[in-house]
Amino acid sequence: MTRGGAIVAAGVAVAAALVGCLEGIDKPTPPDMTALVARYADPRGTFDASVAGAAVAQGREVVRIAIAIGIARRLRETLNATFDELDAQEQGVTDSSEFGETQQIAALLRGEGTLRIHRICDGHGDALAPNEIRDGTLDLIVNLTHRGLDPVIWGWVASCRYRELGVRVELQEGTGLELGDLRAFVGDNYTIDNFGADSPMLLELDMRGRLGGASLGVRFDIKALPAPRGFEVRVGVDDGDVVLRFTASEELVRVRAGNGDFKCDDRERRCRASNGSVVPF
Amino acid sequence: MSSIKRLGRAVLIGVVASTTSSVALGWHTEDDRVTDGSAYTEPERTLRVGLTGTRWGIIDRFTVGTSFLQWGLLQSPNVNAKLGVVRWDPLSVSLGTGVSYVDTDWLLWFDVGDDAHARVLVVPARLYTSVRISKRWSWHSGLEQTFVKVYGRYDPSEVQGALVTSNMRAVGTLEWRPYRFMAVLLLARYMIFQTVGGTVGFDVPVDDRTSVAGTATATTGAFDFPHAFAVVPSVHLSWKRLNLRYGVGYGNYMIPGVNFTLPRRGVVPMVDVWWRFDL
Repeated sequence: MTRGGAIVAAGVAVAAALVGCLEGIDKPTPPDMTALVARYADPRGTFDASVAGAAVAQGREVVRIAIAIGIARRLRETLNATFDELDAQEQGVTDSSEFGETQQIAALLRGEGTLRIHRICDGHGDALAPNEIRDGTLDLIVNLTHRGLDPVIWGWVASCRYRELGVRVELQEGTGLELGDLRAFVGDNYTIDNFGADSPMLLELDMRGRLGGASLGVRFDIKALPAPRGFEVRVGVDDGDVVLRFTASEELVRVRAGNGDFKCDDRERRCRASNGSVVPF
Repeated sequence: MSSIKRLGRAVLIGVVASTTSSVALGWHTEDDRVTDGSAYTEPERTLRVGLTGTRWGIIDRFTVGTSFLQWGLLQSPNVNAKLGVVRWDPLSVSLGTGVSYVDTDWLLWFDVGDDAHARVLVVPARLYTSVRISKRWSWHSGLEQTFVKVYGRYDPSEVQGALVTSNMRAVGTLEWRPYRFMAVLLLARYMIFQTVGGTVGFDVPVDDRTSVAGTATATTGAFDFPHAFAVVPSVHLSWKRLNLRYGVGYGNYMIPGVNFTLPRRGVVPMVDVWWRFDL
């Protein structure tokens, strides 16, 4: 190759290296919720009269705490508000496009990425200006892929104070450190466009808290369900797990277990399996 | 007389003078041929000064150039080079590249607003092959790839990021020289691909208590408009110094410089004028 050819070739190579590729995104690694998801999907424990009473009581207590602290609703509201704002920002950028086809530009902003949501909690007072030190914070991480939201959203609380149903709530740091104080499995089917009130979330919480004036352990997992609104709670029994389904008014309606699928009547305090066997609780 | 009229008169006088000061001998010879979209380089020790670019034939087969129009209009430093790597008559092959840079902070004639800032880096890579079929007929073909990287910031929402687009097109030109001073050219170009990728970083408020910071990257083929093409017949007139090429065709519009093809089709004009001097 001539000297001039070498110069041209080197120029092309350097230029291509300069502009040929995008910088990668360094996404934080989410906590692994695979095992917990599997335990909800396929509970192996035996639901019988020997465990039913304690299991239902334990499950109901978890649902009561979850409703009292409103964690699923608040998490969903924070995510929805953030995603709505991102949609609006994106629309604002793309509306000025000469192409007039905003969908094409919008596609640019979807792909590999990560979002860090920082929220100053509502505080115990009414209509006060946001104050991070007084009200505490909630921080969430949402990873994005070309398909949409990563299945796991996780985050931390720092003395997060708010009122739920008129009662003072404070959520404090847990022991999860890099795994997060709260972890939410939302599955593979959501994007920032379609995530909303109808999105089920499996929550794994590892926090301390205060409800009213009383200390509270917030270390449990629970699945918040959309229409009809309710919760599923995993309760450990001797030989595995059983999953109890409650309505939003804490009424037990169903139990899934290794020995069958039970429909429950909370007023009569008994569950009936498809084979006709009855388990009182 | 207004300054615009004076400028127009000066240009007209210059064009007429340069045209008439030399006999219209015709300037398409076997050694001196169409250099746009072909494998041919500017002749050694010649300077081409024109609307779309100024080129200097440093040595035989090696040309460097720049666009003063780009410097003046966009305050954009730019340089390009073309090297003839093969000349086995009737076959010629050349390679070309260049680099252009635009910084919106440097713009004198355009205002992008105080809130926005962008820097654009453009690097083309070109391969041309020319075949002289006969004394009057030639065929030029080539592959042109253009890399464009845009770094930008849009301040109201603290959005910043980088955009990368890469496009490749095939070009072909059929040249017919009925006279020494005139060539008739039929240019066709076809987009092979056009990809766009982006990296965006932002820190935006959601409400008075919530903010979201993030980074995202994506590549899309949404701009890979299928069967984007253009066909432009043109006439190239050449005198000893003055060269004039003009034509009109039809096809997809394209943003010059970055060679970004647009989805709309319509009438595609072509105008270029340049003077060539021996050094």
